[in-house]
Amino acid sequence: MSDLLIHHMPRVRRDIDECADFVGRQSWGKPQDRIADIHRGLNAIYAHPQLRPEEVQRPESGLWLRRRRAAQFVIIYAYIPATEPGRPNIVSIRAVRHGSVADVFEGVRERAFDWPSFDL
Amino acid sequence: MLITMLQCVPTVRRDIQLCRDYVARQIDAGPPDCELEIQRGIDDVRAFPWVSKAMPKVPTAQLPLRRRTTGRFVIVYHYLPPIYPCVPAVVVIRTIRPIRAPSIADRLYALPSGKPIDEEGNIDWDDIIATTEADDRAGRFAFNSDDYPTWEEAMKAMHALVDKIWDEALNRVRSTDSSHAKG
Repeated sequence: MSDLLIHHMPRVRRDIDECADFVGRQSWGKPQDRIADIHRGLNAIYAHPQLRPEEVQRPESGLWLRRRRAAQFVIIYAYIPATEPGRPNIVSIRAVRHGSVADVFEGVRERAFDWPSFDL
Repeated sequence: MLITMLQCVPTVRRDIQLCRDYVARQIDAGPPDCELEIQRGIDDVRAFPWVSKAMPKVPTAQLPLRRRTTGRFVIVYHYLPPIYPCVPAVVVIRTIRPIRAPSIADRLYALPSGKPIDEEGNIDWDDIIATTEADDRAGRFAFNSDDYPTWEEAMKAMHALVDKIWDEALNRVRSTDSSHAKG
């Protein structure tokens, strides 16, 4: 058994449902590719939960939230290191949000064709 | 009423091919989507060419140009209204290009939460904290790997759960779409 314990908060279920609902309504959505993005993002978090920086601290518990981008999505999670030897580290997935990108053509592998000058 | 004549300058064929090539390299779309969007845009321009206003100052063009955005593309065209009732109007497509939207938020009209987030910020941290705090204190989880004897089984169950939620939502969307189509 891994020394990592994983929790998904109930909100995550609703978030994934919303993301799927959204992607499913887009003609360009490719839902099977997008769910693969989420799986990859989750796996990456489980593999390297400390990779992403702490961003926001929960006021009550003092727990820090982190985020990891997974293609179109952003996964919010908390990493709770073990406090005692023999206890597992915990990754708590808090939310999965659909994220915008600065440029819809993000991910293009090469520069676009140099369009001829045509003043729009 | 006469049907509006549609003409394209020779370079439009190349423009469409370049749009197809460009979109084909994107992660989230393929050439079929591209062609459909362009076709819809051209149909729209032909049906309602006067809707887009003539751009006031385009020094390189002798005739006023208009532009129509269609999905990820912009269609630039001339509109020549009929000068006599028996003469059809003419739409001349000058070019079709992909556009770079300032934000994908333009395409998020159907996002249920209605709040797209960007790369640097605007994540609704307060909402996330508020909606998870009570569950966290109470130990309520949608998934807990501690419920499984091995890590492999836990991972398998976790991914299956995510797939199940995803598929249920997609099925709901499809059934809604099909019922709308029937209605």
